[in-house]
Amino acid sequence: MTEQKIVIDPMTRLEGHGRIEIFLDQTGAVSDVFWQVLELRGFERFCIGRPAEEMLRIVPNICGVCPTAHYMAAAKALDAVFNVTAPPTANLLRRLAFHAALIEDHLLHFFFLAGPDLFLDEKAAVAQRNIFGVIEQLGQEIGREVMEVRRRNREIVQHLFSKASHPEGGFPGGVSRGVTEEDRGWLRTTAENNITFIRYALELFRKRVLRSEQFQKLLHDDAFQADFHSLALVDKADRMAFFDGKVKIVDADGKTSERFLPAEYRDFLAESTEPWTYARFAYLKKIGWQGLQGGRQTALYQTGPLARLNVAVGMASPMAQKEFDLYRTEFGRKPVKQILAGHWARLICALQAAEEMSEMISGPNLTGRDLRNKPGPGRMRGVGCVEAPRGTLFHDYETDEQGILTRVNLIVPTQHNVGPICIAVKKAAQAFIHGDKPDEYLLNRVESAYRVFDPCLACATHALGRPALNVVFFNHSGKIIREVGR
Amino acid sequence: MPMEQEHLLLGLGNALRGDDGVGLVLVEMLSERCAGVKTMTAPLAGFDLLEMLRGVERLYIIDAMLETEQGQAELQWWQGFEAIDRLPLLSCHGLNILQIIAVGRRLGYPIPRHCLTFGVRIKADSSIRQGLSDNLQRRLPELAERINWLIDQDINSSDDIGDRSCRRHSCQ
Repeated sequence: MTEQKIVIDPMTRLEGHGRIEIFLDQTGAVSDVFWQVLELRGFERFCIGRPAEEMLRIVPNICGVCPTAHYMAAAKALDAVFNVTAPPTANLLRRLAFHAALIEDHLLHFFFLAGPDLFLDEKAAVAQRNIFGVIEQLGQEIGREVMEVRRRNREIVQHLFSKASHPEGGFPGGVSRGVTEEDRGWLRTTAENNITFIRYALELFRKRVLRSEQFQKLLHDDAFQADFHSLALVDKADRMAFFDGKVKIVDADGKTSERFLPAEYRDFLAESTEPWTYARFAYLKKIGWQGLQGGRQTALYQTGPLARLNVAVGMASPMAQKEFDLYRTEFGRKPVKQILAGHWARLICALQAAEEMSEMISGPNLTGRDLRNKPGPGRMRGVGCVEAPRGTLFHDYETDEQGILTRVNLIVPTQHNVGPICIAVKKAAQAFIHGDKPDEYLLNRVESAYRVFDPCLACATHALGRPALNVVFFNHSGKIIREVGR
Repeated sequence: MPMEQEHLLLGLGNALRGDDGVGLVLVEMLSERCAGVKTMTAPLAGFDLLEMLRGVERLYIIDAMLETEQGQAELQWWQGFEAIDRLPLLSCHGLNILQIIAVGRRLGYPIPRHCLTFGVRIKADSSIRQGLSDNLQRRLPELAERINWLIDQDINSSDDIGDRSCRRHSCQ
C-alpha cells in the first residue's frame, strides 16, 4: 500500500479560506497534517508611509468579523503614539462598544458556527450540519433571539462609532460621539437582555451539551487534549480582563511563566514563518522557535477563551465567577487541557463582558461630556492591546517625527493560535482517520479541533478571495487521491 | 391602514476589484432616482444582510458577472430567487445571500417575496484597483437609466418584464 494524502478544502464554519492536507503512510495511518492559510497578508506593508491617525480608518477594514477589536487596539496604540490618554467617559464608551462586539461575536460562534458540532448528532448529514440544522434542533425562537441579541449589540457599536461593520469616528485621545440620558434606557435593556440570554445559553450548554454522551466522549478523548502555554490579559487582581491590564502567560502546569505590559511584548513574543502557509506563527521568545512541536517543552501558546480561563485566577464579575467555579469543578485542575472546553469558556467570557457592560451603563461616566484630550508631543511608538473575541490582539506602530508610519506590526489572535491549531488538528486526524476514505463525520471531528479556536483567517492574512476550506488526501508519492470540498 | 411596501435595491461587489464594484457604483447612482426604493450596498454577504432584508417586499440586486461572448457591459436580468445563484457570491461566515434569505425564512422573518436580479457583464480581471474601467464607466449612465426603467416597470406595471438580456444597442 502506498502513502496517501487527504485534503479538506474548503474548511467550513470559520472566517476566511484555508485547507487541511492530510498525509497517509503506507499502512493508511496519518503521518502528517498541514492546516494551511492560503491568503496573502498585506496590511503591515501598505500602511507604511501613511499618517498614523489614518489607522483608525484603515484597520477596521482588516476584517468584517471583529473590526471593533482592531479599531480599539488601534485607538490605544495611537493614544500612546500621540502621548495622550482618553478621558474616563471616552474610555468607557470605547469599552462599551468593544464589549458589545465581543458578546455578539461569542454568541454567534457558539450557536451558529460551533452549534452544529454541539447540538446535532455527529453523524448527521453534512447538509444538516449548519445553521439550519441548529435552528431545527433548538427552535425558531432561539434562532431569532440569537439574531436579536446580535442586532441590539451591533446597534450600540453603530450608535457610538457610526457603523457596526467597520466602526469610524474616533481619534487619538478620545471619541467623537457621546451618549445621553435618553440613550441609557435602551442601552440598559440591551445589557439586561445580554445577561439573560447568555445565562440561558450556559444552562443550555451544561444540560444539553456537557452532559451528552457524545460530547463527554470527545471532550475527554486524548485526541482533543494538548499541552500549550496560555496567554491572556489580566487585571491587577489577576482576574480576566478584556480591555486593559497586563499580559500573563502560564505554562502547561499552570505556573506563571511571564507577566508584562503589552508594550513590552517584543521582549517575550516572536513570530516565525513556514513555507506552506501565509499565516505567521507566534511563539515564546525565551524558548525559541522549534517548529510545530507540542508537549510540555513547546514554545507554542494559545490565546482566546480557553486560555483566558487558564490564565485568570478568577472572573471580574459575580455571575461569571459562579460559572467559573462550576467550570473548575468539572475539570478539577488548571490549566484545562481539553480543548473542546473552549466552547464553555467562550460563554463564561461573554457573561463577564455582559455584566461589565451592565455596570458601565449604570455608572455616571456614561453620559459625561468630556470626550477628548488633546495629544501631547509624539512618542513615535505605541502598542495597543485588547482581548479580541478570538484572543489577545496587539497593534504596534512606529512613526517618524512627522507622525508618518515607518513600521506596523499586528499580532492577531489566530497567529497566536495557528501553531496550537496545527497540532490539535494533526492529533485529531491521527486519532480518527485511517485510510483515504474516512466517513464524513470523522472529517468533521478533525474540523471541530480547529473550530473551537474560532480562527479568523481573514484577520490573520487579510484575504481576498473565496472563504472556505478544503481537505485533500495525498499518497506518499504526492498524488492527490481524494478532495473533499465544503 | 396597510403598511407601505418596502422595496430594496441592493448593490453587491468588491470596490477594490475594479469592475467587480459596478453593482455598488450603479446603486449609488440610482439612490436618488429610484422613487420609493431604498438603496444599500453590501460588499460581502453575511448576517448583516439579514437585517437589511427584513421587512422588504421587493428585492432588486445589481452585481457584476463575468463577460460572455455577447460582450462587456451587457445587462441581463432575471426574476426569482434562483437567479441569484448566477452571481459570483462571496460571503463571510460561509453564508451567501441566497442562504441568508433561506435563514430569514427559516426564522420566520418577513423576507422579500419578489426578486429581480441584474447582472452586468465584466471582463475577468483579478487585479486589485479602485474604480471602473473606462469602457464600463462610459456605459454607466445608460445602464443606470435602463435599470431604473425596469425597476419602475416592475413596481408599477402589471406586465411581467420576464427574464431578459439587453445588449448595448437595445438598451437605448
